[in-house]
Amino acid sequence: MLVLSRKKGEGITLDQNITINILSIEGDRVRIGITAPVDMRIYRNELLEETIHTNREAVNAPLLNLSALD
Amino acid sequence: MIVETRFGTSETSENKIIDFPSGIPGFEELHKFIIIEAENTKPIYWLQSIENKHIALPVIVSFEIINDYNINIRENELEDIRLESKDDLLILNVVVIPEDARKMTVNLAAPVVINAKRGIGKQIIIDAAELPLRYPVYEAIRNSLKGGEKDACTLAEKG
Repeated sequence: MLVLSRKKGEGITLDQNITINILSIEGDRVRIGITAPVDMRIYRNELLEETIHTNREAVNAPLLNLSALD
Repeated sequence: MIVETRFGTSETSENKIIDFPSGIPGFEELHKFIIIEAENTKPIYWLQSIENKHIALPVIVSFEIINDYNINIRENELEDIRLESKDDLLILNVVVIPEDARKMTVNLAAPVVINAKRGIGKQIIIDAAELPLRYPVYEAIRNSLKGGEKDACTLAEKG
């Protein structure tokens, strides 16, 4: 893993078309601005982790009879 | 062909198998799934692995159940499933059903997009405030049972 140290207002460019800027730092919270091609999917890592979690939970579904529920 | 499913043996055909080249998050090692109907669970269908009979994810066609479900699928994501026509696109969302089924939720942030014609699928992740990972869906499902709904199994059948 490449590790870089950045200050507020500084940025990083990836592959010419993605830029990541450090907008502000307040305590342990960093605000990041990302400029990337519109087709590029950007999401917070916890969304993938939570999706893995919900998928694994989903297969434990009890067998149910929906029409019998009210 | 006969496949083993969570619900017993099931008859299916090659052209109903959906390939997930990168698997499904949490089940990356499984690539071949079919959509099956189980008795008494409609409009919930099951995305059943044909490689591991114990793995069947309950799914719904959210567009037919949740009125304002609206997502933006990127061009490259459609290319990933080699979609040529929007008519072949089937979108499913995974449902988590706890012991108390009334508390079931649906993952609206991670739709499973399927090219029903070619049988290629992928679960994508969309980071948007209006798309919760655990959206309570029981009431909407109950309401849809009162109305008509399309048949996901038919939608997934390839021409």
